Amino acid sequence: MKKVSNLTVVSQKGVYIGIPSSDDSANRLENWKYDAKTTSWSNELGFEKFFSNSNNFAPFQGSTQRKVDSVYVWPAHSGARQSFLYETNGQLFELNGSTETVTLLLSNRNIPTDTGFLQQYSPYGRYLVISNGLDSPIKYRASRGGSDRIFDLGWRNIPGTPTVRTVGQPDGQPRTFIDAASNVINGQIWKASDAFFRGVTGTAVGDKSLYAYRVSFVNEAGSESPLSNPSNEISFTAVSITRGSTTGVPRTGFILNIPIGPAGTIARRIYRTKNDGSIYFFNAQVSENTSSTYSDFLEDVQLGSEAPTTSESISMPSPSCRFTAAFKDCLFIDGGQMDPQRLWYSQPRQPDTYRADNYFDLGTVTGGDITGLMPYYNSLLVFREAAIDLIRGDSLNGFTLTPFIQGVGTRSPNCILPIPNIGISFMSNDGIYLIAGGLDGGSDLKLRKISIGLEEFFDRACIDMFPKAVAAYSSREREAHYYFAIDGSTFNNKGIVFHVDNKTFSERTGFPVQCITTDHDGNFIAGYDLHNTYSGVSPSNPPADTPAKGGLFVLSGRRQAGYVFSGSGLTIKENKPLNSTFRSAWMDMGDLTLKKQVKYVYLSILSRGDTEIQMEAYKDREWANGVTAGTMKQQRPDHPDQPVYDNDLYRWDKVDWQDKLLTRIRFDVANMSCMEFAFEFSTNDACEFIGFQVEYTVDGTKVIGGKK
Amino acid sequence: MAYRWNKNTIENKDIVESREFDQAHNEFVSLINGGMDRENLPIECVGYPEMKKQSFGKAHLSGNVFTPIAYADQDGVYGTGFSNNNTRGNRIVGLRYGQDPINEGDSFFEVATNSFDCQEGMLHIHWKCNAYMPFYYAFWQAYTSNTVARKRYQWKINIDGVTVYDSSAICQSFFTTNIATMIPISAGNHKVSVSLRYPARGDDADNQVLLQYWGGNLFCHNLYR
Repeated sequence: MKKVSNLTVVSQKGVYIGIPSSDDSANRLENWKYDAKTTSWSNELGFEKFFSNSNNFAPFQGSTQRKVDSVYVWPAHSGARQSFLYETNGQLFELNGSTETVTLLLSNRNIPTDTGFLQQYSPYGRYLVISNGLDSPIKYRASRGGSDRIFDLGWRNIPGTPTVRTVGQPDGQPRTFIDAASNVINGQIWKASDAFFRGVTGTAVGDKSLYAYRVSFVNEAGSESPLSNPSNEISFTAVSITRGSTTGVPRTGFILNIPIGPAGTIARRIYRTKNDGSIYFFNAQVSENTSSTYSDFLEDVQLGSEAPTTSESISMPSPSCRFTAAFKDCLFIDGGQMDPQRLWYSQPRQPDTYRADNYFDLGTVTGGDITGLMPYYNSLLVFREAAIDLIRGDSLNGFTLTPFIQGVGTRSPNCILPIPNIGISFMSNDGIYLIAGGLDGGSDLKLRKISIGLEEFFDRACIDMFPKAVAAYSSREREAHYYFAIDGSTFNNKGIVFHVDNKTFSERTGFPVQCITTDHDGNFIAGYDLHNTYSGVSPSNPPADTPAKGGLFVLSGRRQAGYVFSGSGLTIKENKPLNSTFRSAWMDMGDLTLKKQVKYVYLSILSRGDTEIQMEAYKDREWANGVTAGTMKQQRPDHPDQPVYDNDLYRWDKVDWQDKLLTRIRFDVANMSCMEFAFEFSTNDACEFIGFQVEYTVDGTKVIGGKK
Repeated sequence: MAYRWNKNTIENKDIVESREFDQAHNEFVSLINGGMDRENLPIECVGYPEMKKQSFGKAHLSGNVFTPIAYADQDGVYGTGFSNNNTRGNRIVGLRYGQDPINEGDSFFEVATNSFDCQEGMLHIHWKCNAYMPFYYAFWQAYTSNTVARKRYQWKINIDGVTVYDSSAICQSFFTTNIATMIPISAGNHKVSVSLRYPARGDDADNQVLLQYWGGNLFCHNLYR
């Protein structure tokens, strides 16, 4: 006896490729985004050029522009000012959105190799620290001043050695004795009441003076440089002289030639020994960086506190660091390729100042090199190739390094991604992981894999290309995007998207993402993986309808797959919308041994108009040999059609505003007797679907005996 | 800089959902309302080259409005001399009773119109016109019961048929009218019209000219919100 049954998936979930899989999972879910309001999947997506009003890809068409190696958006003023930085062809540019032009900030930088780490951007206060492991790390102070807002990170050299001018006898010629005060000899330049200029040398005949100086620089970030080498020693023996009717021992000051600091220096600090001493004390701060001399008239008792030791500020310990992160007022930097397991940290609030002993050497060898840094609650996560360590503590009480997990790490620093209210996600060799919780207040720090069911993609992934994998999270879309290379590709050809509201993944194909980030409003800003439209490119007249790429682009609600060439030179035109595909899980209806006769598939959609969906039905895990289940309009059955855009039937000089209405469209599946059933639809028309119901009958027929 | 890109795409064969449309539109509204500051709009950044024509308003003019030739008939009473040897030199022409548009008088007839697309904002309307009104029969005949015409006229401004301005009665023989008003206006096509009323016939004949107007300018300025 036949029995009619239904299998209902009320709300479709994301991709799960595996056996077994739940009925509400998808075997394929390409180019869809999730709407939490309706629990529907919509294909209202695509990508468009950054300046949608510009001709072709302006302003990214300069002759030196190539594929975009990295991109970063640094917002300020509540998003009114956003610094769009991108790197191409060994050059760092800032995009000026107001003038629709690009400003070259740095050139002659190394271009990342195909398997090398991408450039890293890490905010620290009013600076953006930019490092790539090959060129010198820099600090960029975002303000539209161009390259004069760029400063070296750390002190690359110790200050030049100051020199003290020799002092001759009072009233000798040429005049090198500078009287300190007028209380001994009348007519001097200094007043007796001016206690500040007391004079350095002694007050009694025969008093010997012996001094030396050091100098340091202070930059606009508040960092003090290492001390210079000691100056030449200056010695003087006091003598008595008579001027007119007055006899006495005049005191002198010293004139010091001081070095000029590098760009960004706002002051120079002068340190001096006491008479015949070897310890240096604060003498004065020259709050500018232009004068080349300083006159010192201070007595020993007027000197300030002891100078910092030479180990308190050293020259930049990691001049080609790759990863940086601000944590507890300090800037943490890795040791670069030359010292890949060393982690330095700066003095608090001084990102350029490093003590000689402010570093950690990471312990376990199996953990591998440092591959990323990410602050998380009260800890700094130190990602390594196959381990994760934690930095705890603070600069006042001292930092400590503790291992967190062994065996799981990352090679994709650009895929370490904070997802609000969920945790820190990162991409390991075998999937996407999530770190959640904390170590304070009784909480536990937990690690779990969230890409369950996506092993298929990671089995096919190009591990060597993982340093080029990129990711970004959008609070606006509530999606985390990951792009990486699979199937031997040398560029990112696979996209997977974690939908926060659904806690499952979908796939993205056809997105040429070389690098990606989000702006202040949560728009995904990406860089093309190729540039074939720059001035002077060959061929200069590509075939019509081949993909055209160049510069930055935006993942938006514009339903188009970027641009293609028009067939006339390098001019471009809009491409058609992306193709979106849904493929259901294999459904055995609860008993794998029973034959089922599938009659209908009811697709729950939101009505979209006269566009059509074509469904294919499959049986018994064979994706070849599908059966067409018909093509249906996205209108409600048994109701008048809703008016649609650009149809003469409804063109009455007005807009027919409509609501998207929940409806079910029935597809008839003919003669489908199977053990397991699946269906697929693929469209480049707008579509929003929620779930489905499969109606089938069972007459008790069981699977036949196996073949011998 | 605050940037906005497409949130939705309206395509052929799709229904047009008002909510989606509003959301997409709001992207830009929020940008203009608060997403820009001195970084984007420095001092004196907006000059004449940056301002496109009709960015802030739109003006329409219907000029040189005069008594239609078809209704401008010669006066049969006034200006004919004793010898009647120069009938053309001092005869006047204009509107008369007994024919369009005055007919028997005391009803408004349309003189000038301006029809155009407005944006939400204010609409400033200015009507200027010269007119001449012969003064014969201007008074009651003393010690008789003979009635004569009450000589005056009145202007009215309408928008889409609704009166927005009524002038007082104008009694001067030669007079240049200048009337103006400003009202809030909604987006869409609107018709501005100026109408004229002449009193009902009293003791007047059909062949006497009542009114001549010329040089009328109907100026409308839609100031955008």
